[in-house]
Amino acid sequence: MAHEESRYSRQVLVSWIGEKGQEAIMNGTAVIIGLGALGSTIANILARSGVGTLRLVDRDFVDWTNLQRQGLYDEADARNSLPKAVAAKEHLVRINSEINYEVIVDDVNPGNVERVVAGASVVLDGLDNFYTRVLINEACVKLGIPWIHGACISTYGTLATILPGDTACYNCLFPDASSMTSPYTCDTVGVLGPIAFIIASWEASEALKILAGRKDLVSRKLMWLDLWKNEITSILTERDRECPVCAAREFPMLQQHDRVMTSSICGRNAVQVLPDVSRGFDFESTLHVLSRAFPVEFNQYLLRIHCGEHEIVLFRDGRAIVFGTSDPKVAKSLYTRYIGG
Amino acid sequence: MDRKFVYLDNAATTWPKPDVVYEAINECVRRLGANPGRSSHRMSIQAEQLVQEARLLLAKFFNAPSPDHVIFTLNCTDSLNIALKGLLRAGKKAITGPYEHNSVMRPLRRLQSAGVSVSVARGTEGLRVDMDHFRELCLQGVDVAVVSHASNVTGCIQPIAEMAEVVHQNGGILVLDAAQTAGTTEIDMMKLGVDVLAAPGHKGLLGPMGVGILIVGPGLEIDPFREGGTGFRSEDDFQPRDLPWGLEAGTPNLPGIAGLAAGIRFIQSVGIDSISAREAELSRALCEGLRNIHGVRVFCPVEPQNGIVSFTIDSYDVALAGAILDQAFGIGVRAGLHCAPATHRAIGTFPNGTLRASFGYFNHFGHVERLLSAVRQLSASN
Repeated sequence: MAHEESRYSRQVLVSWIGEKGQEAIMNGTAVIIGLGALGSTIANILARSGVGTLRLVDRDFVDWTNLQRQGLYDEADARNSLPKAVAAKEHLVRINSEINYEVIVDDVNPGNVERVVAGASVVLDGLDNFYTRVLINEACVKLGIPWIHGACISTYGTLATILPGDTACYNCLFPDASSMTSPYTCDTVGVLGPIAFIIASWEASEALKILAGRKDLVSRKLMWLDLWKNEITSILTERDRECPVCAAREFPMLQQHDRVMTSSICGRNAVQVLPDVSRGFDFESTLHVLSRAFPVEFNQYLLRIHCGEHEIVLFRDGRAIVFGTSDPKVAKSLYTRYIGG
Repeated sequence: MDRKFVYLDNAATTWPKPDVVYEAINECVRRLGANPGRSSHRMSIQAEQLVQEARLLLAKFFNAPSPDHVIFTLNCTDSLNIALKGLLRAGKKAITGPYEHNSVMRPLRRLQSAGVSVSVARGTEGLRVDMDHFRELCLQGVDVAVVSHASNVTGCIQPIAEMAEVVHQNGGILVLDAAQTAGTTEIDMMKLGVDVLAAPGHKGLLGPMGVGILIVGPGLEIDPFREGGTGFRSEDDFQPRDLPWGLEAGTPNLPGIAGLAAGIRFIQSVGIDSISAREAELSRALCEGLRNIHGVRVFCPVEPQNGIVSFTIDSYDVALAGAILDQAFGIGVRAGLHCAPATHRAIGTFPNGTLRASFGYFNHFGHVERLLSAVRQLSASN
């Protein structure tokens, strides 16, 4: 145990943590949803900090384009296309073998989100789409679990800490998020490595405050930061007294079917992805963004892009067929990455 | 362009249903909510009367040996599983055709791994079972032959009476998968020599999903794989063998049976011959039109016999073409293997499959024109 003393000693020396705070951290459970650039850095920091249990959640597999910024993975993981949650655990165990890890290789959807966050002291956002954040917000508000929203793209990023019943919830901040999609994703307009590390570190820091029992110290503002312009902005947030989620506690999205449905194509190595077409789909701007990033083929009926061993054919109403996989999770992930979410 | 959706996927399930079917289901759920054959109160008795009437209707419709031999199941797949797994065991010999659905092939392959011998007859260029080969296989011994009446990919109707005769001469029984013909092609079990008939309620018979039928010929013993309450001989610890109870454990789908009975009455009022003729005419018009479009290949008997037409458009992936027909033209067809990979291997369209348009009673020539016009545009755009 002499080991353990020295392992966390510098963290214990930080005055607002101390022995008591460290003990609380070591009894805590952090759930990290999404293990891309944000999630893998968050997991690295929290594992080193000694969080009692880390639950690692991701539906995706490591690929070559991840290595530039997703700090936990290496070339062997990409070559073997390991599930991110599995690869992350393998690396983390070598960093800290004294904490517990739980691995979930799955899509987060209305049917499982409450189980995914259950028992957490804090939930951290490592996601790449609005819809799953809306689900996490509803589940965390419902179960009273603090969660930290973080996101980044290009050279800028944002952060908000949500304490259910106390601070504004994600729906108070972004009431339209459940119906939003954006063709601007890290896979279409890019992302600078450092912004992901900064936002992830910031999220991890907020999580450590909560885990150490110091919720009073978390940010009550929506933070925004652009590394290229060296700008930091913060907006004081307020709860919406009529918020359907944190005020009325109606949790509408938890009761609806998964917004993005898939159907396999009989006998083919292909999956059809069917987003909720009722919210409309901006084909023209998607085409515009994609054609700047990739060689696209386009005719009056469809748009076709090649991404590695997969091919995505997108139709005007937002529906797509992903060729090269029969796994709905892979198809949904590619859709979110390339078409938006 | 008329943007109203055109439904051409009736081989998967018919839609819409006749109004009388909706009404019968509604009426049943509202007024006959009791468990049939279980209790002695009036509502249970009325519910049981509905079931008995439906059995009688079906027995007459298919010229079955007796209403008691009409078993209500979940769907045609369920019927085929009950029949094949209840008739075949290690050491028995099964023969099937080259154009079978997975609802036949998968139970057979599983039985094969449990020691049943399974032989598959070859097909001919004309999309029919090669009778010489079928006869040859039967001469080597047959306990059960199971064949589809019409392929769900090509629509081609098989020579069932001739096959039944060969099977019977060699001491076997014939199980007919009537998924694509029940309700649209006349089936007389006695005349055709069908020993066991499996059919879905929700396709040509115009009932709702969730109800199917199995008709068991006289003197046949099918071991049940599902056991439970029958409302009959409840004192016995074992499942009774008497039909229909022996193969019908658990509460039946009463609203489904009510809808199915209404569907059959509708077919009788229109006449099955006129339904057959109408669907074949639509197929004929579609085939003629398709054959005149450059780069389109049609997989259908020279003279279409029902509402099923499979085709491909050169240089278009079938899944894409199917999605475009829906997206840009508002036409619903089915693309792919149609759960019948064996058929696609036989006709040379494996693994991509085909586009399949399938007509029902409520389709008309305007729908054929819509599809032809769309295929012409697709074919010209490539």
